[in-house]
Amino acid sequence: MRLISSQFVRRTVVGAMTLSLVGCFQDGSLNVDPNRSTAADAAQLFSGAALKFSLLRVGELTWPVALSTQMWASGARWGLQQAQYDQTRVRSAWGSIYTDVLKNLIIATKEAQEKTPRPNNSIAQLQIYTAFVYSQTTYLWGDIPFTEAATGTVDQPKFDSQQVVLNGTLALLDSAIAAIDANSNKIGAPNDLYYAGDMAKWRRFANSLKFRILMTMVDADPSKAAQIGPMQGLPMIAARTDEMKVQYANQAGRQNPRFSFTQIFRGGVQQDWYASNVIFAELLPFNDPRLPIFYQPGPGATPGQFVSLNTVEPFTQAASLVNLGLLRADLPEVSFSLSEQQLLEAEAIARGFWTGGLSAADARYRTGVRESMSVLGVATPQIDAFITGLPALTASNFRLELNRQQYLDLFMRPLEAWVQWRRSGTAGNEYPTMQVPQGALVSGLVRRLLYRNEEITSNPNTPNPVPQQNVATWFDR
Amino acid sequence: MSDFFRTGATNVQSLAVAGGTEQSDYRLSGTWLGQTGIVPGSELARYTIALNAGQRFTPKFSARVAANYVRTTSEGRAQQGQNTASIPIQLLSSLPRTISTEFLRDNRVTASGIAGSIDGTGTSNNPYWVTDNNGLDNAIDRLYGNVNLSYDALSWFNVSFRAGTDLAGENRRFITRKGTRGRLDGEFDTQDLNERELNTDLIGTIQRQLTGDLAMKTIIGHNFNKRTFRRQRVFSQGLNIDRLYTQANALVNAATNFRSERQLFGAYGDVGLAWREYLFVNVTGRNDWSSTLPTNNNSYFYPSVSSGFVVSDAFRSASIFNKGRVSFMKLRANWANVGSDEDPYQLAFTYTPLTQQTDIYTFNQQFPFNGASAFAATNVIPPANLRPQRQNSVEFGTETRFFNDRLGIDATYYQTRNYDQIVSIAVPQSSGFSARRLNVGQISNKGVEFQVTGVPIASSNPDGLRWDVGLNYNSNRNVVDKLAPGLSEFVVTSGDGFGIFVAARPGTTFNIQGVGFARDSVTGKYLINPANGLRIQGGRKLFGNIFPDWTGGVTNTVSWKRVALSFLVDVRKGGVFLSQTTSQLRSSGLAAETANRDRFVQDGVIRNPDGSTRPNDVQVASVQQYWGNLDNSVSPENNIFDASFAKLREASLSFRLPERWVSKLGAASGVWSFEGRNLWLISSKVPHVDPEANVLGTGLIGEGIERNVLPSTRTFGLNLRLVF
Repeated sequence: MRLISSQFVRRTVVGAMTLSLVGCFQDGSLNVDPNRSTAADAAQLFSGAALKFSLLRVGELTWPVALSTQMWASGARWGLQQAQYDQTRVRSAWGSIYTDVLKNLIIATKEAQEKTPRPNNSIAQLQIYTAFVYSQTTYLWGDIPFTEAATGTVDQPKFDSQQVVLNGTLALLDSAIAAIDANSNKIGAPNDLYYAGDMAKWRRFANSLKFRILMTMVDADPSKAAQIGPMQGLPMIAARTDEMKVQYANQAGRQNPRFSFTQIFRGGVQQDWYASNVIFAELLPFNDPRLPIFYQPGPGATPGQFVSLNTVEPFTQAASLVNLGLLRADLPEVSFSLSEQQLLEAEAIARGFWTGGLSAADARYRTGVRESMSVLGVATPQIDAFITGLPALTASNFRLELNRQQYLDLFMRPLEAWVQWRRSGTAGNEYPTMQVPQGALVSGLVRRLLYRNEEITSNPNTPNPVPQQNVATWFDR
Repeated sequence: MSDFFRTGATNVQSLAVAGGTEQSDYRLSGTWLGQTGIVPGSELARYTIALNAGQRFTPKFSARVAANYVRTTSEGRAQQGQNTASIPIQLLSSLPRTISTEFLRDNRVTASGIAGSIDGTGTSNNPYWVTDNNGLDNAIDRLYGNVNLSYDALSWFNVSFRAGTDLAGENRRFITRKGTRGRLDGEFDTQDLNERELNTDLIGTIQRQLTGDLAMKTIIGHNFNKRTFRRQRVFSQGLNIDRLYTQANALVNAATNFRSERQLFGAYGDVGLAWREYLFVNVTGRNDWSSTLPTNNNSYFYPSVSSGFVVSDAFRSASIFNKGRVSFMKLRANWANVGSDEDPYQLAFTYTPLTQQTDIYTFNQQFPFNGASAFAATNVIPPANLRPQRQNSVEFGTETRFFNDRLGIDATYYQTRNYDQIVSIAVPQSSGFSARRLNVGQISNKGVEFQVTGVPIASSNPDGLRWDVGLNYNSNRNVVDKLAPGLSEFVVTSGDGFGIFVAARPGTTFNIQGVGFARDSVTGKYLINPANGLRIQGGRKLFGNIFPDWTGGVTNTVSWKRVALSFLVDVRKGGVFLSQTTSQLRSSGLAAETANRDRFVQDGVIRNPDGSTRPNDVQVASVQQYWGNLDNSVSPENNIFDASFAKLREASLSFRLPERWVSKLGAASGVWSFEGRNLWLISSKVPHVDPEANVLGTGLIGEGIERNVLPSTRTFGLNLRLVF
């Protein structure tokens, strides 16, 4: 065969060997991932993290918390075990808060801090949001990893006490508020899902959040009163346009998950979440006009008949359901509302942290209740009548009256309502009053979530023994 | 429950033609395989066409071509695992025993046109709806083969070049029909996958008889390997029109794409020496350069030495060998070091553009969201200074036959040391990450394998009675020797959502670990919650080794005249197994052991307010809560079982057909046999499921974890083999 000469063979072999021996892939270009990037903009990390946290709040963390804290009754349908404190439905939230939310916020902050010129406003937005996430996380689980968490530098972060975490969030907020300036770069629309880059609103939210955190701490740490006092008069949430919220839409792929749940599982017919007699007891005797807005009559109820259940009682056809209007597709996910701010202010004044005395507190209280009803669409004459009928705040009744209105104001915001309930009084004296549900896994009312098994088994720093659901966290006095 | 399943069947037909001349040869074959699965609606078909042909063009130059085309299509493949609305086993195992299969069969659809339900809350689907409408359909077209050119440049020197490719294209579509509970609006997932591998080898071979007794064969070669992968995926949710699976018919389409490529160059050599055909030594060396490793560490060399010594041939004249007492004896000793690379794109800290933000119930939000696009950082901390992974192995073995081959003993001892293994170690999620990727340390395996074959009875008459026995025994010890600096434990997450890990510390093997029930440190008894009489969740606990202490098997074959009976029993001893199916059956009150609903006081102690304990005196709040408390979601402790078992794995009865029968068909010989597999679970400590079932295959984390797997099947086959 002349086609292949021995010379050809020799050259080929020598050529191939030489090719092999000179080192290959020296520039690494073949190993550059075509699917992912090695850099990301802080704004895009922020929108990803914020939407994830909003989804957790409005979805996975809503159902088990609303049921176990008796904001909703289970009707012994979907959520019976959840109402009895089985938290296996809170499956991804713990990990997701750290891996999908906090880590991306911390990386985005670091990325922004290394930029020249320094985008002080972006850093402030990220720090304010980080403080918000950490405050929510510690209210749910108590002691949590904070100082060493979500940075990638410590594999097994230590657990910080709730007091350390909450003080840490205050420090973050102080640093952020101080950093806000008129000119530096910020995360604007569309990546700022909350305020579209309006730094005046971020400042108001940061102050409001700081105020709210201090109000949750002051019973466990009375020295916080000294920090609450000077906040009077600072710019805080003062209009509906200042509210901290994510707007969902009645459009596929943009719907509030509370709507999707009923749509996907029930074809849009609400038959899962029932009226809890705990809330009923605060509405019905007072002719509260929010009752028909909170609830819809059961399919077998007579016209205008409202029937509530205890938290684990089996449903009946007459039993009232949580109103589908509060599970609608375009319902915003609210993290801080105007009425919440107004009622907190009333409390601060009434408790003497702020000046003005009970008469000023009473006025603020009425403003808050009005806003709370108005935003739900209650007709003005009904609001007027209800507010006229409210007793004037006195030294002996203000805690009770405020607790009631603050709790009702947070209906459908179970995370905030649970914090409000826990701080509303000493153990056993909280408002509203609840009974331990039949079949509950622990002997007391639920005061925290259990740490996830993944964390318990992989992080030796997890508190051991693991505190059960009825053990109070630090702020819960 | 068994009424739901049907008898599966497999049908195979094949045809081959072959021919050749002195210069050429060819073989062309075609095979068709049709299979109906045990789940209603599941089918599989496979067509194979294979060509293998060679041509010698000149006395020195020849070529061979091999080409195979395989098309596999499957329909209605049942899902396993968790987290979708369409897993038949999950639905069946949660089915109240008061619902008959007939009822389900007749009530697949409700009057309103959605899936029939099997529970009071109306959330679970009728499994017949699932198998009628929802399932995975796929088609794979695969073309693989190679061309080999060979040139004998000199009588002792050959050069060959071989180029091979493997192309595979797959279309997958997973449908969840509109009206499926949990996905009332319907959805479907379309995936197109393309894989391509190219391999070339240029090889020079020198073959010489160096002396009358010593022969040598030396190979030097060069290899190039390239693998590419592409995937296009569109996940479509919310169908307007029922059963119209086009993306335009969906309200939301989320498209993602992925591609990867890796390359590897290798240069290798192999020197083999043979002395008088009884002493063999081979020395090899290979260096690879991989595109997937860091540029300063992407070259790695790995050598091996293997040797064999046929003692019975070397000392043929010794009386022990020449009288047949030891009819054959071979000793072997091998040492090898093997290096390997990493998956592509694992080195950099990366950010993924998000197409959607997910919710655990898949109420996902699409990006751009109100105009905002989004990115997320990786959940795996990438490795720093990654090195190639290595395996060092030593093996000694012997094959010996005694008494003219009536007794045979094969024994092997091996020791492997895997070091610098590249693994993603699970880290607590509070670190912000789920895993850290690194060269993890060193894991060693030591083991022995024995195989004994014997013929206790053998008549001199070929048609007389003969009894063959085969025994095998394997034992392996797996230990993590050391870990990378700063790492105290080798932890791999199971990803099952219940916090179960497989973990090992230096000096130990791999254990299943999870949250255990709290125990009193003095008595060792369970701590009981005085509020409800139930056990209390405790801290982390190791539940046992996932690997067996040993496995073994016995085969017996008895033949007499034309009939032969054979059976194989397999045994596994040791190791543990986690069953999620058992947990579900028990917590939903469907397992037989949950039938007694009388409340009782379980063994344990109650801790008094002063810290002392007293024997438990509180009845369980209800039996339902007792079993719910033992569910995996609280602790896997009660659902972990000893994985030891004994099984009648195979049995067959065969009949050698009389020559006068087969000669009428033009055949030279024929055998008819009746065979069965997986016939009898003789002993098992795992209730309700097959102790060999696992959901994730044989990998580290798949070992020992079972969840909603399809029942294992008993197979019977009739086989007629004719030789022409």
